[in-house]
Amino acid sequence: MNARTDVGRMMEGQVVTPKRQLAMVFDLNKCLGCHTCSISCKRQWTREEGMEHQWWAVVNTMPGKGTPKDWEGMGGGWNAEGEPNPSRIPLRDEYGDAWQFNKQEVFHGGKGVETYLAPTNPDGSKPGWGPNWDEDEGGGEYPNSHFFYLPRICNHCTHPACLEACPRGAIYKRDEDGIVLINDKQCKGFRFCMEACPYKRIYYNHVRDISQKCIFCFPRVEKGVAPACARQCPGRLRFVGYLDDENGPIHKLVHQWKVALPLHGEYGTQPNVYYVPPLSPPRVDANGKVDPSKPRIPLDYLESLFGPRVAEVLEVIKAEKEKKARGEASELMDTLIVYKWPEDIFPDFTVDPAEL
Amino acid sequence: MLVRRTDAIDALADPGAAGWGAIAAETVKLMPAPAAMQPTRYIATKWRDQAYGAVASLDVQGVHDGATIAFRLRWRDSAKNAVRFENTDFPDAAALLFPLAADAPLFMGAPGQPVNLWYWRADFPERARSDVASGIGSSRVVDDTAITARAAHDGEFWSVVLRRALKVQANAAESVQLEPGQRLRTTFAVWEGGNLERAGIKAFAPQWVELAIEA
Ligand code: SF4
Ligand code: SF4
Repeated sequence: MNARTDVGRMMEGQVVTPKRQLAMVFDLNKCLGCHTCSISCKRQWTREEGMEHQWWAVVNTMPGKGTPKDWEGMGGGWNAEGEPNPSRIPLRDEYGDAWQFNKQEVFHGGKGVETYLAPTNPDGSKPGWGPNWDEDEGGGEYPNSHFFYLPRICNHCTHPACLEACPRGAIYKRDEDGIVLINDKQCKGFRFCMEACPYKRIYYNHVRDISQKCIFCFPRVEKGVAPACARQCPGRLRFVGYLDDENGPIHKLVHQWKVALPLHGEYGTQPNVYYVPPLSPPRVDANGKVDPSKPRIPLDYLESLFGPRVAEVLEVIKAEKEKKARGEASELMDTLIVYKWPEDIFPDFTVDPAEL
Repeated sequence: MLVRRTDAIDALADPGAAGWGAIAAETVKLMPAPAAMQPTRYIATKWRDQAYGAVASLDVQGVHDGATIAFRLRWRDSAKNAVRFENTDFPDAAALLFPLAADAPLFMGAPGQPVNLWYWRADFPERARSDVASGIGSSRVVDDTAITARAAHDGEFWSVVLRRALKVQANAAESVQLEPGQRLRTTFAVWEGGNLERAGIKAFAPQWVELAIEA
C-alpha cells in the first residue's frame, strides 16, 4: 500500500479525481444530538492506547466553538489562488482530552460531601475545553435563542489539504471510492496534515507516533456494510452512497435536488460530506409577536457555514414540505424521510454486520 | 576528519566521559535546509517567513576499536525537548547520513542512490534508528537496535554518543559498512524540537565531511 498515486493531487492545474467517490449527506433537520454516531465510531475504531482522546466523529452544537475549539478560525485548506493556507496544530485540550475523574475520592474515599466529581487532563491540568463543552448553548437571545447539531467527520475531500501537505506521501485517496486514508506504516508523526486540514479532523497518536483520522469505515464498506456512524444513527439522517449513482439518495440530494451543501466550501478542499441545512421556527419580535418572515436561525449565519445557496435550498425544502402536507407527492420529502431502512438511506451498504 | 583507533572505546560510552577531551573535534557548519528543498507546498509556504535551522554548528568526534565505532555529536541547544505527548511536542534530534552509492545526493539520496541515516531523537535517548532513504520523504526504518546511544543535556548543549558495530550483518545492504583504513563521506542534520522542527525543517551540513577511519 505504499504506491504514491496522483489521486487527490493537483497536477498541471487539475485535481486528479478518483473513478468513483463515496459521499455522505447529513440532514440537519433530523439530528437529535444524541451522539450515538460518535460513540459507535469510538467503540469501533479508537479504543487503543494513544487513541483515548480521539473522536473521529463528533457532533457540535452550532453556533458554537466546535471541536477543536475555534477550529473555524484556524486556517488550513486552500486560498482563492489555490495556495495552501498556513495553520497550526491544535492542542490536546483544544480537541478535548481523555479526562480522568476522581471517582475513587468521591465515591469510595468518604469525601462525597466535601468534594465533587471533576475531570482532570492526563497531564494533570484542568480541562479548558472538551468535545461537547458548549453543547446546547447555541446563539441568540431569548425568545430568539437557537441552536442545531452539526455532525462532523473527515470529509474525504476531493482535493485534500492533508494529503498534499504530507512530506512522505503517507496519505492517499483511493481510486475506487475516493476514501482518504493515512498509511500508518508510511506516517512518521510529523503532523503537517493536522495543520493543513481546515476541518481539523486529524488526531495525533503519541503512543504510535502517527496521525489518525476517520477511515470511512473502509473495512465495513468493502463488505457492503454502512459506516458505523451511519448505521447506528437513530435519527436516520446519515445518507451514504456514490455521488455518481443516479438512483441513489446521495446523487438525488446533491445533484438532482441540489439541497445538500458542503460545509465551508470556501476552504477549497471540496468536501464529500454534504449537509441539508436546518429550517427553523420564526422569530419573535420585541412585542412577543411571531414574525414568520424571519427564521430563528439567522440566514447569514447559515450562509457563513454552507455558502450562498442556503436561502434557495430552504425555500425548496419548505415548498416540498408543504406539498407533502397537502397530501401531494414529493420525491424530495420521501427521500429525506427514509421510509425504508436501510435500503433508502445507504442502498449499496445494507449488509447487517451481525450476519458476516 | 579522523576516526581515531582506541583500545578503550567502552570508556567513551558516556558523552561526558573525560576521554573525549583528548579526541580532536571537527566543527561542522550547519545551515537551514532551504525552502526550495521542502517536499510540499504546505511546508514551504508555512515556513517561508519563519526562522528555523538556527543551530549554527555541530562538533563531531569519532573513535573505533576495530569492531565498534562511536561518534560524539555536540551542539548548542539551551532548551531541552525530550517529551512527546502534546500534539505540538517535537523532540530534539540529530542525524548522520552516509551514502550507500557513490554519487548519492547529500539531501536524502535519490532513487537508485540510497543513503543510510543514523537518526537519534531525544524521546528515545538510548538508541538511534537506522533508516534508508532514496529521496526526500522516502526514508524507512531499517533497524532500531543496531545503533545504541547515550545522551546528556547540560542546560546548554546536547552531547550524544552513537555506537554501532563497524560491520553489521542484518540488513547489510541498507546499512553503511565500515572498516579500519576506509575513507568515506558523511553529513549531518540537527532539529530544534522547541521550534517544531521535523522532517525537512532542520539545520543541515550542506557539504560532505570526509571521514578517515584510522587503520
Ligand atoms: S477533511 Fe481534512 S483530513 Fe479529511 S480529507 Fe479533507 S483535508 Fe484531509
Ligand atoms: S447518531 Fe444521528 S441523530 Fe444522533 S447525533 Fe449522530 S447524526 Fe445526530
